[in-house]
Amino acid sequence: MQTVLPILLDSLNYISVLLLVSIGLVLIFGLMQVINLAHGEFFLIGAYGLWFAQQMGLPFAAGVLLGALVAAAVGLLAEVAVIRRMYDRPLDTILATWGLSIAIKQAIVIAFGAQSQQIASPLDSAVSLFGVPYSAYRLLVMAIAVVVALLVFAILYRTRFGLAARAAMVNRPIARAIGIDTRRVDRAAFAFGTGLAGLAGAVMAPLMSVDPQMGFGFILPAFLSILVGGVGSPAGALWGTGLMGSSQTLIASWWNPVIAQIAVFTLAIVVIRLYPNGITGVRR
Amino acid sequence: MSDPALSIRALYAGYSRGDQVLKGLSLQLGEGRTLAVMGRNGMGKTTLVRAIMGLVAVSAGEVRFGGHDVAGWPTHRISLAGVAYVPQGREVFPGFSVLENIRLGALAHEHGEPDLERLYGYFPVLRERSAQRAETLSGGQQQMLAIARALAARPRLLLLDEPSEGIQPSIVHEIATILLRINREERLSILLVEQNLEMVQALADDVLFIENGRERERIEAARLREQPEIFERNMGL
Repeated sequence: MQTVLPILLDSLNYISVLLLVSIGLVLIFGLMQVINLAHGEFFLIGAYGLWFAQQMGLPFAAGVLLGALVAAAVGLLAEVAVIRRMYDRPLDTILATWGLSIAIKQAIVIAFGAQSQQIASPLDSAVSLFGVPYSAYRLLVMAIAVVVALLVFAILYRTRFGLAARAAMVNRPIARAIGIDTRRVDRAAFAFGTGLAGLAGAVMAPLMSVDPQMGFGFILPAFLSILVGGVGSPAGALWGTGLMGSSQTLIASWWNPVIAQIAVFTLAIVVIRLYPNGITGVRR
Repeated sequence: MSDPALSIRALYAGYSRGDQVLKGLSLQLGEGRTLAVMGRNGMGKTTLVRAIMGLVAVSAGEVRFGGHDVAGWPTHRISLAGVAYVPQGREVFPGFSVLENIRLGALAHEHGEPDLERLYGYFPVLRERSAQRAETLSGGQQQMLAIARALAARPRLLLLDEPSEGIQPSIVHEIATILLRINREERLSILLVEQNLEMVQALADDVLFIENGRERERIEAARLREQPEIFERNMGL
């Protein structure tokens, strides 16, 4: 127990972090099929939102909320100005969102400088779980990831907005023909997705060095998780993050982190090769 | 005749400017009546229903429905105004259950939820299959689902694009009978684009033949049976 538990906790922690970062992509990449290379920069906006709020003396929860809201607002602006013109041009989207990512990153450098910022963690104590000390804040992150994921799934599968949004992503012309204002749905879904990326950035900020490059490291694993789980299937993202996250931490703790990275990316390629529609196998 | 349910005047529409599929087409559909639009492939039948629905750009002309000229309106507003559309190839939402597909038809509309008893009354098989995924239904059942989804909005005008396409003859007859019942019971006006003579004869009051994006000849459907040469003249190669 004393040796297995820390590995298990680290695994769960990494899975929940990956889940938190991926959940916004579930909407934007999984459902809307927009390859948003600026996803990491919305993560960044969330982290800087929290940092800025702490500079202003606001409490932690208010800072996380501010980060998420600013990311959602910038996302809404990006959708209206750029993304909406590109829904049937995936290649152009990659280029446009890449440009957007550079613009956001540089805007942050201009506003706050390229140096890394310190974020005070709201909980810096450790709690003892079955005799193993574990960071209380990491446990809080896990809880937030689970709550956010449940909330997103409830919205997608239990609300009328979710039903309309999922239908609009499958077939926009027909969704319009049955009366759904797909422009409104697109705006809302994109802003919601970027807001979730901002939330993830703010929640992760106390555990990371907050600098303009911080979004990058999570984006590749997050995209891969969704591809492995199955694009277009929100539930697939859960399986994808679970598989990617657990293999990453297990291999890293038994072997080493570099091998783990190589092994996980190889695993992802093999899975995508064998199951082009992801392990949940949704055909579209 | 009272105010027509749909009145189209000198409609020009197409996929790119300078290459219009509809070239000044006009037609009238009386309230509670059924009109079949027939014509050879490429004459603009599908473009016509897509233009009414706002899915194809209208460059000139008028589409009067419910006291408004809806030409140029965004598609969802045309739907909310009371026009429902059953597309060619059915286009039910894959990955969604039969019930979800029907609910989606009503979702954006005033009442919000479909009148399931009425819809299942017309299509009992959809009740049996309500939990099944839409794409697993047979072609005929998917067609029924697409019609039920359109009816869930409680429209005043129903546009049907080739409802018989790729469907067994016995089911074509069944669908035609149900549509006729809906037309009679709810006084729902129906514009039908169709190649299948059986569907047209079972359902339509009138037939409008179109050619090269314009109306060519309009007759009562009953006359088709008496004078098959009319069909031959308009549809023959």
